[in-house]
Order: sequence, then C-alpha cells, then structure tokens
Amino acid sequence: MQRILIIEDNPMVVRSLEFKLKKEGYEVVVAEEGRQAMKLLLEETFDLILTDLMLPFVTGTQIIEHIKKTYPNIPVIVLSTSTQEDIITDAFKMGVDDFITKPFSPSELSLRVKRTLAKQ
Amino acid sequence: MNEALKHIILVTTDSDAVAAFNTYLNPNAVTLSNFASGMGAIQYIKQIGEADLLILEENIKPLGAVQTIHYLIDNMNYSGSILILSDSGVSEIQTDEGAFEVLKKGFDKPDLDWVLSLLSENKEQRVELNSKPYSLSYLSDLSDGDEAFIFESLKIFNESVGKNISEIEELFGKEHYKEVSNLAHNIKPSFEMLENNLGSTICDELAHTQVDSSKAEQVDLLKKEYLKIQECLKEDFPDLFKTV
Repeated sequence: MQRILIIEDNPMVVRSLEFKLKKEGYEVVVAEEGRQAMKLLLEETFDLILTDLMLPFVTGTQIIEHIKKTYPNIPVIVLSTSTQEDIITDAFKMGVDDFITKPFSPSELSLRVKRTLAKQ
Repeated sequence: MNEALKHIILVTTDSDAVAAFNTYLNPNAVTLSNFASGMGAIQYIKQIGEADLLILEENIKPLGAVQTIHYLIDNMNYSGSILILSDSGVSEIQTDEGAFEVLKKGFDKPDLDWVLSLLSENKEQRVELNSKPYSLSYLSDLSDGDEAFIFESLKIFNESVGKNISEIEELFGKEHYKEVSNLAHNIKPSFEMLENNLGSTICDELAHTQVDSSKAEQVDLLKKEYLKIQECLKEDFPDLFKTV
C-alpha cells in the first residue's frame, strides 16, 4: 500500500484529505506542523508528501527544501490557496512536483496524486 | 451585514477599476467583494443576500452584465441597486429589466463620490435570499454523501474555527497583526468548504492585505458570520452540540 504524508494544520482540510485518500486505498499519515513532519520523515518511509506552505514552527518552504535535499526521490505536492501564486512559483523552483488548491476538488486530488505517484 | 459597514459587490476583471475602488473607498465604511465573473457574484448573493450596491462590468465573460442582471432579477427577485461598469460612453444601458446607470471606466474620485451617494440613499435592510449561511454540497460531493464524515467535518468546523476566531480576536486586541493574518489564512478553507463566501472573503482580506486597527470591523464581522453558521448548525444538527 502506498504511503502518503500529509503536512497541514487546518483540521477540516486534513480530515477531508485523509477521508478521500484512504477511500482510494492509500495509507495516510498526518503531521499537523513542521517539526512533527521532520520527525516522521526520519522514522518512516513515504511514497508521496502533500504539504501546506504556511505551517507553525517550520514553514512549508523549509520542509520542501529539507525533503528535496534529504529525500530527493519522494515527490511533493503543495497544498496552496489560490492567492499564493508567488509562493507556489518559488516552490516549483525548489523542485515540487505539483500543487493543489484548497479546498481541493475531489477528482483533481485523485488525478494529481495518481499522476505524481505514477511518475515514480 | 453590519449596519455601519456598507457592502459593494464589484464584478470586473479590470484591475484599474478594482485598484481605484480600493484606493478611494474608506474600508471602515465600505467593504468591497470583487468577483471576476457574474456567476461568482450570483453564487455569493445566493449565500449572503443582496449587497448595498452591485456593480457589473458590461462585457465580462462568460456572463455579461445584461445576462447577470436578467438572471438575478428574474430568478432571484434581486431588488438592490445595480450599476453597470462600461467604457461605452453611454449614461445608461437598457435591459429587459429596465435601464441601469453606467459608471464609465477610467472613473475618478468625483465619480466614486457619486457611487457612494447611491449607498447612502439605499438604507433599506436587505432580505437574505438564502437564510442558511452554509451549504453541505462540497462535503457531500467529496464523501459521496457519507453522513458520518459530514457530521465529523461540521464538528471540526465548529470547534476549530470557533477556537481560531477567539484567538484572532485576542491577537487583534494585542496588535499581533501578523498572527491575525496567518490564522485568517489558515481558516479560510474551512469557510470555503461550507461554501460561506462572506467568511472566506473576510479571511482573504485579513490574510492578504495589511492588517491594522482599521480592520476591527472585519474581525467583528468574521465572528458574527461564524456565530451565524453555528446558530444554524445548532438547529440543523443539535447532536453536534451535545456534551458527552
């Protein structure tokens, strides 16, 4: 079963992502803030990471930088709001694979997750 | 809407027009909701009711001003003030629903003073077209109507957004405006998931414009909108509020 790490601090968004991805057969692990995500990345393995950009303690940008440096084979999809264009552009420059706008469209989430995992 | 705060819905993709409104309007007196399409405005009006003034760009795609007016008046009995934003040079535009005055593109301060005078003439309390401040459509689509998931999501909304709004109030009082912006950014998707456009618009404003003491009305309005949703949830889902 493919494992997905969700790094997101809005509990409604987390619950929705978790619900949808579990229903599609993925194993889902959640980190509500950056430090917890860093710890999980040290201890466990993941096939895909979905991360918010504005997080407590360690920002999404710092996490992406860390992932791309330490775990370059794990693809990253950014969870963004539609008003974060500059930040999304910066994230792409750092090597993220895709982005999804919150609140996400269920079919778009499925497609983007499948497509990103298929590239592996 | 807060009685002191007038509300304008501006439907245009003309960034100069939006910038002019933002420059000249006093944010303590007028709140501006900008949409890039007539459909966006229609959805918004369905949720929050009529604004004090609706301004529609004449040739905006895909639904122009005339078609949007037709939809609003014929299907939703819209009765509020409407202006058409146009560069055609005419003073009014005739539609099947009557003639509507034109605000000419490239307008300046005196033109906006005229727009504001329309607001002060328009003192009637607007009737909300949809009394429910939330919708379950998104959550239902996402979960294929899974009632347990919907219930759980509403519980999360009620608890987490309530807590965050209390924090926003406290941080605002302490003038920690950056944290206010961050929290507003964080809870914006929660309002969007319940399709509450007013809550989402206010969060967007707090998250992406300069927050200072002048945003007190917006913070107050956000809390009121949350409480409105909560009241409605209490009626529709009393079990959400049962303590174990």
